[in-house]
Amino acid sequence: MKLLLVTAALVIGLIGMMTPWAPLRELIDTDPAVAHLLLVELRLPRVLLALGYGATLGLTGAALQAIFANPLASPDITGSSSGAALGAVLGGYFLGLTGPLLLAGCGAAGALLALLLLLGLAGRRADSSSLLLAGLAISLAAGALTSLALALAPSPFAFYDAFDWLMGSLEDRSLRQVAAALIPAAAAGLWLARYSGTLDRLALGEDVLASLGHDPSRLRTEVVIASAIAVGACVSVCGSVGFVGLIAPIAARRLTRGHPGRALVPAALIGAILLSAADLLTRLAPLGRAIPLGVITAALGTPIFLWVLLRMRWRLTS
Amino acid sequence: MPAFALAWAASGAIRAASLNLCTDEYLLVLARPEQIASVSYLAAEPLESVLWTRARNVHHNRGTLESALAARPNLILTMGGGGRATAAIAQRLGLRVIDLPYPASIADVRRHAMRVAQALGTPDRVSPTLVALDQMQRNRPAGMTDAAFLAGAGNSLDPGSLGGQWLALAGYRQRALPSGKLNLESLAINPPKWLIRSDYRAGQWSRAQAWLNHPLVRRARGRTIQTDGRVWTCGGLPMIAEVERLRRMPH
Repeated sequence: MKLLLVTAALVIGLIGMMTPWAPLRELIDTDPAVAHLLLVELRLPRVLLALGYGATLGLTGAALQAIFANPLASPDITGSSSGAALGAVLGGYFLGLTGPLLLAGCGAAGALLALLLLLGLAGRRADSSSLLLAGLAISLAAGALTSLALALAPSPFAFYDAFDWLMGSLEDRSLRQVAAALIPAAAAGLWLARYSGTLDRLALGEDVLASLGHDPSRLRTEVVIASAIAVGACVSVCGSVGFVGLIAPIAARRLTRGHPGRALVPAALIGAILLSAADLLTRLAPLGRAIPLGVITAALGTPIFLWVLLRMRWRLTS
Repeated sequence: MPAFALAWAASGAIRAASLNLCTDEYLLVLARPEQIASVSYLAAEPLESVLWTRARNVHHNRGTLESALAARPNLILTMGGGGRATAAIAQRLGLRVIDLPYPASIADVRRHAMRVAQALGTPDRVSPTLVALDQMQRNRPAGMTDAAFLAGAGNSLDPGSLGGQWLALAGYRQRALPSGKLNLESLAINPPKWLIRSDYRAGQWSRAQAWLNHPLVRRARGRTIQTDGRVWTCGGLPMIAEVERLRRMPH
């Protein structure tokens, strides 16, 4: 199954590199140097970000769902994406930080703050309604503070300037920005992947986990910090993208028969495929315009989110 | 009618307040100093206006009628959106209002300048400007070079827009771009001969400025001509000096 997902991710990445094909084909014949430049400087960063950010959302979503023991936990619903956006806005527009890595640090700090706040508000193994309400409150507060920060920013056009990014975009990013987003995300992702087995055992209960020699509290802290670093770094470069972190883990758990830990890697692969596919769809807009990435993922994700909610309700009432 | 409006109307002296950065330019260029009641705060901001030194020593308003009334104007200058409600309220207060439409051509800029100068009674101040503009239009460059205006995030101009017309007057033919934006892929594949790059708020971090630091934009440095981005916001009278400067640049 993993091999199939890896192949699908590679194929969709390749399609992303080759789309649109016509200008590239012409350049390969007439000016191979420019064709190389186009592929390396423009299309490769976009494809890497789509695969990497998608994988980050899938992986962190699966890890958060495992520690909250709740299928609704995901970077956007827990407020960590909104927190990361707030951190990046404050870092860029107010602290004047220009380096992508510094902005990634601000994003990670914002995401961490949001997740710690969620743990404080909703509790460690929160029921669905507490998690949703706490996450909603944090998302709304972070969104409002982001708007306030943009309204008070030294640049009078900060709102306009940040709009594309806030809606999620992978367009026109450089390899330096890719490195700033994906190196911390990959490091945090590998750290999280180590806990695959431990997260499976956590599903049996914290007492069982503790009796097996693990520290549940430490595990939770490490998952929260690693998720914040990974999501924060990606949001600071690509903006916040909803629903991928929710859908990918749900699909992955179906493939791993409900094992939350074993679902980590498949969730990352499904996230990578989903975001890359959504990015390909953004290029379908007419007249050279681009549909914001967040719009595509929301259009695909909202029905699935509602389906999960309804299924949970049926289970409770039946 | 407020007492101050009556008093000024009786004296015949004009005290004008401008509520918009673009009308600020007309007022600061065409009015005698004692005729300026206030200009918008943006006019005194060095990052927004080339006329900020002239605007420094006059009253500033927040772009609303309420904030402009304190300086007791009897003439209000507004432009485009939001101006209609402002104009109606100002007229009810007995103030004369000139609501200029957004200029779509250089001819519109000329018309606006004449209209404001007429209202202010300063034909002597508008004449040299219009003479310079007319002379510039008569002595158009013989040929035009392929170019694209470039601002943050790849924002550019439509060839038929006011900015495109100013660029043509400087001897550069603005390239037609989808959605009025230059994308990095077309910049790599088929770059214009010259990029007329706006330095608007270049020293201030924004996502739009970050776009201008992409390696593919930096690679085009050799074909880049810097332009003062502040004058392109309104495309008004200060464009004349900028077009003269651009004419001396390589083509």
